[in-house]
Amino acid sequence: MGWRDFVDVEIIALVSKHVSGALVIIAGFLVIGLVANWAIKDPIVSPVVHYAETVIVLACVLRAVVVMLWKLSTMTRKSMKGGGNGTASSILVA
Amino acid sequence: MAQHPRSWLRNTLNVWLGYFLTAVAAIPASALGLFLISKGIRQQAAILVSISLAVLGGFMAEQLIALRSRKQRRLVVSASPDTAYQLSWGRPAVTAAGFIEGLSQAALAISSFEHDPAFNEETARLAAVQSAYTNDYKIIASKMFRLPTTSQQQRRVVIQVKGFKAQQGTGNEPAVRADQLTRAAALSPYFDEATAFAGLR
Repeated sequence: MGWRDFVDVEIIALVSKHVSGALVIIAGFLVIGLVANWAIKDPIVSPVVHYAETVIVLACVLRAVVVMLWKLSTMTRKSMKGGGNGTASSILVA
Repeated sequence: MAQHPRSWLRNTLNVWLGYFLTAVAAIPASALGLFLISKGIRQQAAILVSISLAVLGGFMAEQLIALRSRKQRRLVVSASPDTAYQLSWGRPAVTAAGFIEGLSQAALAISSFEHDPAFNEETARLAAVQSAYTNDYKIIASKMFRLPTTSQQQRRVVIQVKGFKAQQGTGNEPAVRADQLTRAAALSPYFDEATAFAGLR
């Protein structure tokens, strides 16, 4: 069983939704942090902003990993049961 | 019968909303982490606590929003044998995905809506019977067919359609109700579903 057996439209839809969501939110908050740093220019506030940015990035990445693994395991479990509901529409809705 | 589709855009925006909530929850979690660092806890342990709290907070906030959006919305459809209908909603639950999808559906509903002033009792009966055999909808109560059929008699059908209820009874003047229907179509993303289910379209 090669990698092509697992890569289909369902997985692509799932991964694209979560990766794009994580990237958009991370980019947005990084821009907010950069603008805040540039506007405030305070040596005390700057590390706080950097810490918050780090937590936001890592939290979004962790969430993406957890949710995608959970959805993929659900897909795999349903497909193992035979038929199931592991269709593209069900994953899009998930 | 029209069935409200769960669009790709709606689901993608819901996923993005989850990440946004996680990022928002990361702000107080960061404050807690900095507080822990100031108290002498190692930085790695503090950041692990912050990240865990941010992810958990994001999940909790997403669940809270999902629960709130599932609150039932109420749709009232008033009708008499020769006039049209009156629609009114309770407090709607607004989400980013629902708002954007609602705009697109409202545009479609306004452009394709055909107002039929003559309420046909047989049409309503057939629509109700047809709805009873649809798995996606649940009829709570239907008293319309046990009441007298005089034109002055109040007739009410209470229907629950995926988060709101529809009531049919006597209502206002046709012109007023046509205007109300148009405004209701612009306000609700479920208008197509509601009108189709009530047998109005």
